[in-house]
Amino acid sequence: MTDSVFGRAWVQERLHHAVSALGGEVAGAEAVFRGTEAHHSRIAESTLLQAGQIDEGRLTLRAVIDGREARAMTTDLSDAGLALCAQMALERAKAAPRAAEPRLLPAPRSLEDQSAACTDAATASLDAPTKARWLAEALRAHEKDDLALAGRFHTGLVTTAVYSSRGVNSFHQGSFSDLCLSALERPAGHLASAYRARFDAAITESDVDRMWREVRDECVRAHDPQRIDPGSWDVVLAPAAVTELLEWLGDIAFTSKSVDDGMSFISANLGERVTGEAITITDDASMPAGIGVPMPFDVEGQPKHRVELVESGVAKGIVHDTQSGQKAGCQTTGHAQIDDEFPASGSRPAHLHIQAGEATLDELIGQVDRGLFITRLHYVNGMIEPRRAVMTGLLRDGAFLIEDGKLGRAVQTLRFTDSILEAFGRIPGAGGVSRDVEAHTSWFNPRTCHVAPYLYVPGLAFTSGR
Amino acid sequence: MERSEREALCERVIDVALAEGARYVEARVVRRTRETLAYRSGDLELSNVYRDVGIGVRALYDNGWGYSGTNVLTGPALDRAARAAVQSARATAITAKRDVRIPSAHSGTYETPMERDPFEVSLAEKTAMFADAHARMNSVPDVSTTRGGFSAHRQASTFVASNGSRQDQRVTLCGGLVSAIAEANGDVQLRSSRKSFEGNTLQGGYETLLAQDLVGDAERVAREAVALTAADPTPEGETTIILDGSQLSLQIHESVGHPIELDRVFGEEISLAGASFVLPEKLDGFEYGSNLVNLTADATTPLGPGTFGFDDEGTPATTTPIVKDGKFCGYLSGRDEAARLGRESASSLRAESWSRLPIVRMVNVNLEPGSGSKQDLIGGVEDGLLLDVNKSWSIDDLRLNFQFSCEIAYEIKRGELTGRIFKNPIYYGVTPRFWGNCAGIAGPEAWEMWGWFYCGKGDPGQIIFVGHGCAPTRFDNIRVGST
Repeated sequence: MTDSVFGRAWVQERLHHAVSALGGEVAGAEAVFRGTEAHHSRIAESTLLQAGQIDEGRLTLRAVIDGREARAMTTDLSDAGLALCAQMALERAKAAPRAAEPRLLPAPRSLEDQSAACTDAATASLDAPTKARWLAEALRAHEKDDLALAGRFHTGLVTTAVYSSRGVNSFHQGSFSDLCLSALERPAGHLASAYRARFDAAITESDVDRMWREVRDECVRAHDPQRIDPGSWDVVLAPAAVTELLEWLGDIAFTSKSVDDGMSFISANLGERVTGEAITITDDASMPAGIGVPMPFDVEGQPKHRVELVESGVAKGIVHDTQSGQKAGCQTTGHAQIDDEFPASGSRPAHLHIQAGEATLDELIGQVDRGLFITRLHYVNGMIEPRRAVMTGLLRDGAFLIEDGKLGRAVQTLRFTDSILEAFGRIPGAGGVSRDVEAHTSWFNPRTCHVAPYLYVPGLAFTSGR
Repeated sequence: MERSEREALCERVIDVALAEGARYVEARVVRRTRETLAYRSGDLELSNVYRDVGIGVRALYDNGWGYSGTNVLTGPALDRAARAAVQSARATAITAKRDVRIPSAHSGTYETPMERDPFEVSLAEKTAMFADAHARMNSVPDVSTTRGGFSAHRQASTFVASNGSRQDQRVTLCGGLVSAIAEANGDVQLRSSRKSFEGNTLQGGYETLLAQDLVGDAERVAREAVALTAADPTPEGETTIILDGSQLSLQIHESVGHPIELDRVFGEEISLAGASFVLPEKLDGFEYGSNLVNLTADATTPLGPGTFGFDDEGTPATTTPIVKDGKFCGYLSGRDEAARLGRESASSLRAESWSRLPIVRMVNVNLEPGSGSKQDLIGGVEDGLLLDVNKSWSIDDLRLNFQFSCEIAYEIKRGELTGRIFKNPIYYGVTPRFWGNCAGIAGPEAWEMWGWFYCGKGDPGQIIFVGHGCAPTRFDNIRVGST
């Protein structure tokens, strides 16, 4: 049990109240609650630099009238606030022009409440003083070695609930822990560095202890990074690097909008080989590997199905919400989205996986005569040429030479620019994919969680340096 | 909620936080209203509106800052937030290394000047404008999809601090765009009106969107999208480029605006956004660019999204020289960062909303105008490219190595645009070398404000709106190419 501000009874009462506030004029009404109770901590220069606690609950109302719809979101959860929200949704739905495809609300589907299994009460309530205690030795040790420890340590509880006039009534609560640590020679960012991250439903003091020791040791190993030249390099990508590429693939290829616009490489290639046989990409929010943060349903209250997007290099499909599924002649896959900051319509994958392979990390590295081990990428952008999945980005934190199958000296940054589909097409079968996987989230969105193995990618094109 | 009610909420949390042991407290009630419309091939595809209200508390205990926020505005929830801010401050105080000075009080108000409130314009009127623009784009053969977007945002903040500061501000932004996707010649190409992504979103009313003349621009956008499908890739090599204002504004943003954030310089953003090459020893001497380059951080520029009366720690808006005649001379900063260099705050501590801690953010970082027209700039180029409207962007963690791609490159030969275009242009550079190659800046008549609504920074992430005023600018010896 947690001491949640957004308890089940209160949330469901607010949802019912909001739907009722829309009155009888609507053909369909749907209310979505998204709550986050987060303890944020940020570390920099071997100090606990920032700490805070945020309780934020957002309620989004969708009104459907005569096939037209509008959404209104509010964080004013008082009766008056919900009444105003309902008024805004109603007015806008009435004023909306009739859409070419009538808007629909989905019917309820059977869902079990998984909140208890997804919540670690200690992680949900891990506060700043406790984190300060857990990190105290790490901060002292780095300071003593004249290293800067940096990172984030965010924990909390996420609540999602959906209620609709069609009978949807879904509720989920789950804890999360988002820990990233970097150890850096000073001035931080200019010399050697190392990085580790993990995103899970629970964390303990020993997890933190293990991570800071790993980054400190690796930072020491990374001393005096060498300048290397651009060109074609064989690389081993660690999961943090792979999940960043994976998230971009999700946005440029597997959303309904990218397909509608003809900008996705899936559009013209369904059933065709688009990348290497070693690559199978799914979206699966149940987190079958037992790591990461699961999510049982989407913002329409529909169960999140496992969806095969790319199977052994062959394009299989995309994810859908009710609307895009109707257009494509299929059911929703449970991938409706609401994004208040970057409003977008249609479906979006949020739990992407690359299927694990057979190799150990040592076996991956052992295949490389001369190449690079890449812990993490920086500032990847996948909008250059989405139809070929051309992406660019840079090395960052703990990039090492591989020589004769062994890790060597650390290297300075380089920029890659390459088609990720073509690059993944060069992976030499299941032996180029590790059996170990890690879960990572994106830029603090605890509703996003991607899982990836280490990948051996021959011939990644590096196009410039400093 | 009346101002007196908002101030009463602030006073309550300040009282509780002081009673918990804080030695200084700031409280902000922030109300945000946003309307977003998305159109696809003439249809209204998405109609969203949001109304966000909550309170943020920043408390100082000893020399540690703590933060909290809640949108549950009941007494017990407010008290919980106040206590949480002090509890967090006690935790950061353990490792805090520097004395924090309590500021002097400032009070006042600010409101965006505008002719027409964008929230008062009917959905029908907005939709009619986009429908007209879409019809014009769709009349061009081979256009497969057209898109359009509108956004209006209002951010109203009431700030009260335990030193007696009382401020009330209301900022309004408005913007939009149209774009066309063409499918022909075995290719798919996107072309947007004058600025891609969210469009040019400026501080002001609906008149700022009308001034962009999306309808009048629509057919050109569509024709260029189609023409790009038949265009050659941009040739590889080193050449002279002219960046038009829209692309240049992002160049300024990434290679000047972010590296001059003083928290980043001190390593405080290292875990996510990275650091900066502009270390403090570079102040007042480092050659950031050629002697034509003058850059200013200005929180007072008309139409600029980064314009306000006070930043989010209550410092009155300032104008701060960043680069003078090519020499680096100033940073974006808040009080605490500036104090480490013995300087005054550049009024740049800003927060996305009540739920985020204020951190160093851009205001309007402007490239001051040179002389002559855009045509004069083109006239001086023997062989080069005019690059327009951003497609992708990426820069390293010290803000040195960058790569941008644009929607279109126009060929320049012997001082004239030839009419030939190239697709998928990319250009590369390293920040000080790039700005060192600045060889011409158009004058005041070509200078305009460009708004970027989605600048991301911080962890937890924050999105904020910033501005960059600039005129088309020439850079020599730049590596260009294509994918």
